[in-house]
Amino acid sequence: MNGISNIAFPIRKVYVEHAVHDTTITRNVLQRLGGSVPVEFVEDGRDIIARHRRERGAQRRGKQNLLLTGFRAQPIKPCPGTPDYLCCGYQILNFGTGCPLDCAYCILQDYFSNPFLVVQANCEAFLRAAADELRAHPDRLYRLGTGEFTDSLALDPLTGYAAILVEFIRDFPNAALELKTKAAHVDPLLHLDHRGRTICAWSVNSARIVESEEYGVAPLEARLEAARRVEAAGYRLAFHFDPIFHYEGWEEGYKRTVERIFETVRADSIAWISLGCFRYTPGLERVIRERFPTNQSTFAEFILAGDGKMRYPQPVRVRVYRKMLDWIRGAGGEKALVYFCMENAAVWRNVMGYSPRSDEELAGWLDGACWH
Amino acid sequence: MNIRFDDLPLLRVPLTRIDWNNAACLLRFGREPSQRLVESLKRTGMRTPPLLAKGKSGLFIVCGFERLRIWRELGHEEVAARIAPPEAAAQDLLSAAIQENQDGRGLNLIERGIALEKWTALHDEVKAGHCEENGLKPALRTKDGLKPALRTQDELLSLLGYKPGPATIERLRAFRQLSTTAQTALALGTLPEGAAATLREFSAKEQDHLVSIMLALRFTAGMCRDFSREFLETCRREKIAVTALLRELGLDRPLDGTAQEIALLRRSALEALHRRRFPILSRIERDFAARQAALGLGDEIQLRPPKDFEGDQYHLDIRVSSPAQLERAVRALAERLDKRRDEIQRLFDLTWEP
Repeated sequence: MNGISNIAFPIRKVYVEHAVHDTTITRNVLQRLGGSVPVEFVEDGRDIIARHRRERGAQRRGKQNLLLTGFRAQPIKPCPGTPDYLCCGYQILNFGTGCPLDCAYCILQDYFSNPFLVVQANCEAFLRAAADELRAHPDRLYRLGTGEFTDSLALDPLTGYAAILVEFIRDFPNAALELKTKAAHVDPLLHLDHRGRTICAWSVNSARIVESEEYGVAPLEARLEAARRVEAAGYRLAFHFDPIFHYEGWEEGYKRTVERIFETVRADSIAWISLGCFRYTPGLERVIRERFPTNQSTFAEFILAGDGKMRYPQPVRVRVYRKMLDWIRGAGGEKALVYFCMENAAVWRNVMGYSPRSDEELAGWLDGACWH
Repeated sequence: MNIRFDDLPLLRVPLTRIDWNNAACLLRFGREPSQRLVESLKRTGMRTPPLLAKGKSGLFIVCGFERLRIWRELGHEEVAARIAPPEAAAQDLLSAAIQENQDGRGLNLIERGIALEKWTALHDEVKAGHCEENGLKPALRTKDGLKPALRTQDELLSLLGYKPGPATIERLRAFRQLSTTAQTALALGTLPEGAAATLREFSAKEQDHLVSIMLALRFTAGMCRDFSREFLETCRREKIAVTALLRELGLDRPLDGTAQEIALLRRSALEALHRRRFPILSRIERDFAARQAALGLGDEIQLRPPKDFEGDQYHLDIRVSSPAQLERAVRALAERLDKRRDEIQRLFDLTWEP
């Protein structure tokens, strides 16, 4: 049960659809909770989601109610991206939604308005459907991730999903899996035959932001230690500086995190590093005001960008990225593939001196790092 | 329950029988007395009969408060009105009042908030089993006895033309928590909804002060929104008191003068607040303007940077009124591009260093 104690709020109730009462994932969850929380069996999880949608306090309670459902949605979905900003072409292996960690800046607070952590508990059917899609397009490369609508490992101590996914993906030459997390619970991954098809990625930040904005997550040093352990187990790594906050003294904090990464793991183990400055929707701002009344992250200078999100002014972002890039190169990541998450071509050109011509070109660069 | 009040017979009612203090169904807020209504009542009489209901202290007004007030002031002693049947429940009467207002002049945001408050209070009282205040009947009398005429907030929202949902209820409630000055400005439409939402964060006294400033400086709706938001964010970020920030912006004195003086004051206050709220962006804007001015292209040729310096789409404006002027402008541009290329290039380097 190590690791689950890190999450922001304990699971208080588990809802299980009748159809998945005897699947591997459901058995894992119920056995590992050991009867410590009430379990309610329901016919169709969609009904209770609809009943509780937009309830007051949904964001908080959405970290305490675990709903195990049958597989219904598309197994693989493209990352929604955002107009006018370049997207890396990540594909979401959609095994669950909602996150038990509690980061003040998390955009999921605006995206999901129901009080449930939802996990596709019928992983056999889910993976069968994913396999069908991967086999149907053997010439297409799938850079898959589970860290878009949830954290890839935060619930793993309960579900044991990550090991299943790692062993699933290794048999598909046209697929790679990125497990993106702020957790440090990597024990189940260490002895797997992953065949290099899984990349373990950590979302990292300055120590000050980890402390002030991220609740229930593993401390930065614990994340880096976890990265070191999976590196020793032969996994390739990735790091995501996203969101980067521009506050007084930000340079010192972020530079230190960059240095710590390269002090902890080998540069050639790193498949990529992404950079993305903090941005938010008006809906997220409302949630932050309500849930974290003393939070100041939205009081900095922001402009309303073309995609409807508030962003730091472009010249500020360019300066932040240039510095980050310098520190990464200076710390030993001269050859590291660094890319921007959801940035426009002008930022790319101003920082890198070049820009991908399209989402597809950027996706191609990252694919190259997976299938090098 | 659906009572068709329009089908009720008209009765002549002495105005002395009306309990003018009973405001159970009064929704009016922030409206000036209507001279048009006075003229219409003088000219054509009471064409839309008021709806009255029996209360504890006589008849009370359900629909037609303003009409009846003017009618009385015009010296009439009685009125042809409809009287709701005794079985009409409280929410049915309120519903009739809302409906009539909606069909006529429409309810402003504060009046909608008042309707919600009254509706919710009745709902809660009916649910709790007691509702006799103002003589309103809590329940529908049926042959089986008393049956609560419980109508939900969602029903009210559809009456008001909204989609059901808690967000609208929260919003309407929030408007009612504003200071009276802010509510009045919102009701009159001089304060936009977006600004009102921000003003909630200030104390009632501060709200009054800020609203009076926005009205005195004749802000447009957009200006009100931006000003209140930027003001709030600056206060929070800089931890500066409202009065201190107003002093900084030169808004701590009587704001009067000619239209031209007011326009100047408005501009300088908005610019000062913008500089305070967006110090980095303001500096980038100033740097860009200075670099462009140094090129000496004159006012006729303007290179406009991307909006808020986001992206890389520049616009070139050339204002000319003859081919000769156009030729001169093009030549001037070509000459700068040829001889001062580095300076032109710097206009495209959207960078910032503290």
